[in-house]
Amino acid sequence: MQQCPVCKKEKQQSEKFCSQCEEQRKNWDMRYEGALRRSQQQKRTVIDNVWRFFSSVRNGMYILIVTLLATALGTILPQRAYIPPGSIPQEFYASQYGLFGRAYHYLGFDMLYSSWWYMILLGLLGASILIASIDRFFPLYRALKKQPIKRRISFLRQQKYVRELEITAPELLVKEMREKRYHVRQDGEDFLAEKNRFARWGPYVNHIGLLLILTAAFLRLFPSFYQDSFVWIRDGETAVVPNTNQSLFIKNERFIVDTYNADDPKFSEAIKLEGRNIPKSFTTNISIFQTEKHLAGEMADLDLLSHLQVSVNHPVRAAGYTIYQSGYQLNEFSSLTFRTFNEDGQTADIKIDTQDPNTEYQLENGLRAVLIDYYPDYQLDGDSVVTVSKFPRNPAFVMDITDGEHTERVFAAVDEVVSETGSNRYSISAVDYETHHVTGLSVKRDWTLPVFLLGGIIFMMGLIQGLYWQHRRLWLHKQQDGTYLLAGYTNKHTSSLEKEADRLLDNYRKGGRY
Amino acid sequence: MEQLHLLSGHLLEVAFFSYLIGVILFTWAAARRRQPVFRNLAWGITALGWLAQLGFFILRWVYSGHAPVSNLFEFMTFFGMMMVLVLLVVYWFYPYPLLAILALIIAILIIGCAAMFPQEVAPLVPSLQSHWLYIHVTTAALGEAVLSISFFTGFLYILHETDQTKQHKSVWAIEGLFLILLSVIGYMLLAFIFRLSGYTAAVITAQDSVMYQLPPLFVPHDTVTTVLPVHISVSEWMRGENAAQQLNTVTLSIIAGVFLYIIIIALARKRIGAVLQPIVQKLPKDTLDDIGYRAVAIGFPIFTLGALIFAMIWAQQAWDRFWGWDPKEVWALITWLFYAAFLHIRMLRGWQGIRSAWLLVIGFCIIMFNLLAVNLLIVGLHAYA
Repeated sequence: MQQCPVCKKEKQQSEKFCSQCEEQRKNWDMRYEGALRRSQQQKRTVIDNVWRFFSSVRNGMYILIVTLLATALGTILPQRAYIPPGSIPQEFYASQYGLFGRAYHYLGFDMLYSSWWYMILLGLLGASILIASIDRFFPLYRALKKQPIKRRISFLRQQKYVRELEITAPELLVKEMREKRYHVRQDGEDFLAEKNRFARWGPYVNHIGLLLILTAAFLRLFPSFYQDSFVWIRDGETAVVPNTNQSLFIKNERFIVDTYNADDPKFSEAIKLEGRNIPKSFTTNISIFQTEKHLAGEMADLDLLSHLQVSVNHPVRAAGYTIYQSGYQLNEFSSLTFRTFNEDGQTADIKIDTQDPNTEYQLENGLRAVLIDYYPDYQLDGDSVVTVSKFPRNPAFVMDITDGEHTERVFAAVDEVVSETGSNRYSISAVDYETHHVTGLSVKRDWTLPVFLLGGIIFMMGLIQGLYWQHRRLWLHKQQDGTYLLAGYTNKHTSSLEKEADRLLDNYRKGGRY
Repeated sequence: MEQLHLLSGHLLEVAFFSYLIGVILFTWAAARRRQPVFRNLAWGITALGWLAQLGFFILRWVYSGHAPVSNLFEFMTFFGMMMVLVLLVVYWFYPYPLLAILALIIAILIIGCAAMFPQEVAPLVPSLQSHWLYIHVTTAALGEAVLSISFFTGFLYILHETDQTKQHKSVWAIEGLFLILLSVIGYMLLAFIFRLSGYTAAVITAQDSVMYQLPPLFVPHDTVTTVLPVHISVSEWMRGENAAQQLNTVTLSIIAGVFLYIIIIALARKRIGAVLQPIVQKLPKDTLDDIGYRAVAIGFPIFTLGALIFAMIWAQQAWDRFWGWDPKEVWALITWLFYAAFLHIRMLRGWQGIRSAWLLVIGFCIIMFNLLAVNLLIVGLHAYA
């Protein structure tokens, strides 16, 4: 039988301590120096109970795990933002993923990350971070600030590192400690060596960073902090940026797409594999105009602010906004020209502007075309015609062609003309078209970005502070029999502390230097 | 210039085989513990292999003009390279051959799987043309590599601690992990064998034809003709890109894995966990637990910086939003949430040791899921890598 190092009672050979001391050690919480946290007070009100719930790390972890699972749930099927543009969510999920897709859509999982319950989860997480930190920070701060150098023997014996020593010259051991960057204080014949206490504040610092990030996400809901607009502008045209109070105009001077040379020996393999040209750059040359006052419907006096070049990965700033190249459309139809034949075989052309089609066209061969319907981007959906976007990417027109007596209704697109009345009295076909490129620019003003960035920086600082350094303390206590007790504490990586303390003692025994 | 490309390819092969030799030498070192010669030799060969892979990386960068981390092949080889680097450093402090063997096998499997993806040097699309490409990807890969170390120690810890004399959940969970590992090996063997024999099978569907590199057991639902008389039409709702082909590959890999597993069991006449336990028994379990925690403590900040903060800064520049709930982003967030949870849960009473080791295994599964499954199963903006 051996002696237990704490209580000197007999203990099992294989165990480090006797069973009683082992139990006591398990329950001994050094993390907050045994200080009483608000959450551990006896008297309880409702607020105390709420506080108690959120201050528990265990409860915080339940919230975190639920958030994690919810986050994963949202990736089973694509979120609504990523389904093909123009498709109707309800139909898309049902037709692509069957019953499961229907349920997924019905439960709102296709917009999970903006759902009220996901927001609540994030809010609960924030509350947990905030309350658990406050609950621990102040008692810990007080406890570490007012640390006695002399500690009770029972306190010292509860530490993870405990050694009984015969020391004749403690000042030499202290010198060794100072070598190792310990800050040593003395009280009578007792010493307290401490280093890297700041590492203890790491978790609180990083939690402040996280709270800032959550705050920034909350601020984003307010338009004064976050404005986001998107404009499509044709080559050579000027558009007003929405949500800017009619004050900001952008002219698309020219949109340029550059592709990689398919003959480049370096990339030819990959381009062949891809089966099409790989774009090298998307660039728009733009002019920015500003105006003070602008009445709707009137062309404003535009003041040229600057000429800029915006491309993917190279956003530009102008008038307090950041402009991003974030979309394009090649070869949209600007106009379509149809040729009509009257009953005598005389021809006349109708040129229809896709941006602003006339309601009626009087033709030279005596015919009249009345526009009934216009589909800028038509697609056949079963038997009916629908437009999948408002952009003239594949325009189709429904017209009544008439000479006064007979009227024929035709459906006319660039690749086909179908007579809906079935008479084919006036032969009609597309003969010409003009195209243009369109650039898609995203114009943003986001005051929350600096807050996010600051939050990120603070979070990283706290993380490194807390995880890359360890708070270590060594107490050197002179016992009544004249021997010394060396006790060590660290907030993590006990084996490193043991190694360091053992090396200190080693150096001391060797009489100083290595 | 063309020579540069060839040379870089050869350097990768050199690295791959050096790592294989490294595994053999480390195994030897584990068997003959008294002779440090083998350990040093094993470390040296692995380090040389790493230098060769660094050469591959640099030459490919010079040749292509951009950091070779822009597609799955490049990213996975780089991830493997970071894993070996971290291992070489960790081995300096904790010279456990078993840890090295496990890490090298995983790195070899990752690099081997990388080689199954298209290896052509591809030009960068506009959104990838940024210095953030290599800043973000390299930091994220390094972070994940450090986190992987925690998986290796966690796995060894589980092998060490699980009672193999009784049949219970964790015993079978261990065998399950080995089965996954063997399936990946099975996949590489199958791909290697069929590629070597020049096997291709055309499956013609109503819309187009698909070339299979493995026997087409699973074919799309609208298949018109195929080569195997016995085949299974995949149900209609599986409409993801190449869904049938991917299911085919996964199923065949698992079959190969089960086959390998049965061979091993038949030879050893016990479970793999039971075979390895006496070998692992010599490792100090507390140190394993400690290394695992340390790896997370060191890897978590690197991962946060690379996979979230740098990623967000770049996304803001390239896509005009720093966060878009793209599946790859979301799974990086899930990985982050998971390891954040780990760091907290470990402080709770009773969660050190075996429970935290299992958590580390789950964490690595999440990383692997994000590396492969998200790209292959869920289509997103990161479809290239």
